[in-house]
Amino acid sequence: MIDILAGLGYPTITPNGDLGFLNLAPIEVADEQSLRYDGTKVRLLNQDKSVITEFSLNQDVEVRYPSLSFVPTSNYLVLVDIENEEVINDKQYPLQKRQFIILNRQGDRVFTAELLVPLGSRRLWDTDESGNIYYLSCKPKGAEICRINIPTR
Amino acid sequence: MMRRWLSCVMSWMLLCAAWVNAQFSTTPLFTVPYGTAANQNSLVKGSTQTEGDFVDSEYPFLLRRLRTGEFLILSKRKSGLFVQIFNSSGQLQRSWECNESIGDLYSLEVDRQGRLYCLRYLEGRNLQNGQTKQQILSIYDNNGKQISNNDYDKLLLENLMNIKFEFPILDLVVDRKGVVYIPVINPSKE
Repeated sequence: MIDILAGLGYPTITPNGDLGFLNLAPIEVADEQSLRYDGTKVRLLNQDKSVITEFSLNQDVEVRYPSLSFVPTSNYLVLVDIENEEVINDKQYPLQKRQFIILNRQGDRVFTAELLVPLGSRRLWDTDESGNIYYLSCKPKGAEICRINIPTR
Repeated sequence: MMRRWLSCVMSWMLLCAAWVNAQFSTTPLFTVPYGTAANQNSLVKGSTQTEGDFVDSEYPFLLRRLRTGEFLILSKRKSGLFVQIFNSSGQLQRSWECNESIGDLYSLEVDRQGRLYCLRYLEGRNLQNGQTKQQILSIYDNNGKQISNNDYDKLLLENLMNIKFEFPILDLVVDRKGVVYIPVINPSKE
């Protein structure tokens, strides 16, 4: 069976593995197709528009690539940011710096991690059922797989 | 007395710092060395440039942690897509090649069971004539065998035509039950 669903934001997977939407604008001013972003709240919604979790954003946090952001647990939001457009001309392949900015629900930055990914790659990171984050970063000797432990509280 | 008090305070501060650091930490698990062997990761800058992209370049493209605790790395190789599955210690468990060309694909996804979903570009296709020579969505199991979904593909095409579908936006999403979601622009709702 094929259903047509309303778009409530950026489609994403919720921490329990279901379809959710990362909504970057308050529900009351966003229409169903809106991907607008007012810069103060990020909400993770169920398909029925109910709010799973909500995060405040400080004015100084700029989400330049919101479609890459994800919610590993209901307590934390990970903004994936490209630090700058600089491409590091590695001898083997051009690489680009990315940064995981982990925010709590109050919008405080609680952790930052940096990684180097090949230009053109899509999503070299993932989570598990506990919300831990795994990522691939290109190091001089090879592709390193790392884990960020996320507190359960 | 003062010295003892200071010592206690210092110890408490050190304990607090250690506790805060223990909350969030990054742990390297394993490294896949560069190279073209099955248990290596290829990172090669190609020589044939088309629209700013090196079509014959090779690089890791997507990472997925599987339900089994294994890691799947999907890479772009000259011959097509290359899938490697490593255990949590970094030992290669299996690998397979897929002849899909990344240039033909709008979006790719891998679910937690290791199934690969390939969504092709639709622009330029004769949708009105129900062109189904090449599938819109191809699915491969975690051993690289293509899963037949001809009926679903036909239904998908019909649905896209019914909503006067224009083109997909964003990447496809697959939930824990294997249900596939394809974000598209629906002009009638704009």
